[in-house]
Amino acid sequence: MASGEGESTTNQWNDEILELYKAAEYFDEELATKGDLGEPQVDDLAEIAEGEDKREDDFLAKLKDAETPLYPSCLNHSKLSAIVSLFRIKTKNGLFDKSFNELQETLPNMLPQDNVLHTSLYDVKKFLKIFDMGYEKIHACVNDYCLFRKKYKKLDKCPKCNASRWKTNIHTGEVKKGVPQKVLRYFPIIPRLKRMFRTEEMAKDLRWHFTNKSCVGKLRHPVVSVTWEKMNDKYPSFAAKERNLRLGLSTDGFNPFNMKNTKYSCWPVLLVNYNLPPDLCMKKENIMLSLLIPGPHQPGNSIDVYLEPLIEDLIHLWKNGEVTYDAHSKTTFTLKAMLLWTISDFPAYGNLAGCKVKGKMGCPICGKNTDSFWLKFSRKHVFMCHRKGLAPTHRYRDKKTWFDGKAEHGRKARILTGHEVSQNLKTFKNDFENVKESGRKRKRTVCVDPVSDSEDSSSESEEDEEVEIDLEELSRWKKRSILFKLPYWEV
Amino acid sequence: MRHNLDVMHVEKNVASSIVSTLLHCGKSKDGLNARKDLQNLGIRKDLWPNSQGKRTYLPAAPWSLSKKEKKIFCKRLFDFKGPDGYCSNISRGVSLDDCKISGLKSHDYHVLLQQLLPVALRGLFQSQD
Repeated sequence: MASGEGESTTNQWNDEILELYKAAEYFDEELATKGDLGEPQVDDLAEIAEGEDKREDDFLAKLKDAETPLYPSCLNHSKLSAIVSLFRIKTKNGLFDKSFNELQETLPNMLPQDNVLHTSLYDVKKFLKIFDMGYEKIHACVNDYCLFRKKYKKLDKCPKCNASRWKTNIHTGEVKKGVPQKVLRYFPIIPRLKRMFRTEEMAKDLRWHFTNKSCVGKLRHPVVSVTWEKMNDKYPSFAAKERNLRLGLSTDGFNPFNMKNTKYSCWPVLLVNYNLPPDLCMKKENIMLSLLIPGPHQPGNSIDVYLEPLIEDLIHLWKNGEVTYDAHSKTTFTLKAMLLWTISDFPAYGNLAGCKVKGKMGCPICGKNTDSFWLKFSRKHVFMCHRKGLAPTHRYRDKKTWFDGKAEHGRKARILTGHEVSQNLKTFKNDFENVKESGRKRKRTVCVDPVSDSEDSSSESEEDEEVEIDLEELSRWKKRSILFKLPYWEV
Repeated sequence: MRHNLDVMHVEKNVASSIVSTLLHCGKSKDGLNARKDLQNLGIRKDLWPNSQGKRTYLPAAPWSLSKKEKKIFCKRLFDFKGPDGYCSNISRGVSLDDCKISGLKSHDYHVLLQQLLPVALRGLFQSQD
């Protein structure tokens, strides 16, 4: 099993490196064509360079450096291509760092004198680093209360549970300052989305959904789905621009150590780009890993804490947008993006939506009207209300012995809309915790807790409209999902 | 509320519980407690557990297979050969000796539920009604 996993990771690496290399190549081509085209485009470039930070300048400088030939009379290899092909061999065959280092030391001696090959793995990695997008490390509270960012950035202890941010030495009890207990890895989405538009082919593919709506009446791509159309109707100005992105969010538990630590569960959060054609949009290279929520236990209901950086970026992409250069039309535009939906299994559905998925009111669709009863011997809740959806005079409704011994006369309840849910949960105080329980039973958390989030209370005071809150309905919810912070989520 | 469920995952779970109920192993949904609940609810009288002295007997249900039938069922799946790219080698997940099915992927369960199960079970159930 371990070897299989290793293989897959090296494959992934390979693809990634190839992609990086490709991206760099395209970028270069694009620059070259730009030089030929004359004034207005150069202006454009200046505009981008202005908007982009210093990193992008670094990138350009490194790219120039990368394109120098391996040695003056070399025809086949540039510095970059030589290094990338060597690095590919390393990852493909799982070469040890040491052996690769030695190979790197010997190779330059075989080449002509003034070659530019690096002589150590460290240099190679440093060289390649400028081409990857990087990620942010965000320290988190061990008990999932908060992330140490923004106003908490400088703290040494969690403001709510007082747990130390740093690791402690178990023998001496000494706090190792600077070594965090839990680190959330956030792969910023904005620069990645922007870079997608930098390659001409990809930029073209990203408009696929606009012109290729299927007319055969078969669902081959989410572009024909109800949600998509509904959002288009609701936000026509968003829908009118073909380059605006639609994303899907998906998450599930994943154990990276398989048999070595079976209890460990980290939660990757993936984004799917639905602008792409159906054959590309589910390819692994187009599915973006955006967050890596660390273990050892799953975030559960507190997943909102970890989703925060991602949601902030999504809000920014919706409200303001980002100025992006498009390689296909060779112009700049404002990139906007929308999160269409989430995809998950049923327990994760509960975590993301914040509703209960087990117990009496286990059905998120029927809500408080869920018909359920307790099976005494199998010791579980069962939900036997399927026949509610039948026509009022359907003969199955009166069949008692075929089903659970009762005739069904109920009607299917209306599904709550996002707006209603949001209204219901308006005053809900989110209280995240994920304390490791040691033997004792978890205390029941009361819905209305005096400890309030300052952010929440500020959003409450905006509207003074009196809303009658159904307590029974409220008992079904565990939190006001962070997804409601997205302005379009209620629709 | 745009929260969607992972249908492939759900389908896999459903298919695997159907198969294990048929073979009476693993995550079987049929058992003493399930039968007791039927009695408690007062439905399906023919399936209620009947206790005779020390022992409690579970009457055979329409879906229960005898040992021989289980063998036939497993053998049919074991001998199944699909076209290239249709599904993984299902016979690898079938163990003939203890009549168990394990280690299938969600796509295999999809194929099993959609197409193979009716064929594999043909003639094994006595017609009940």
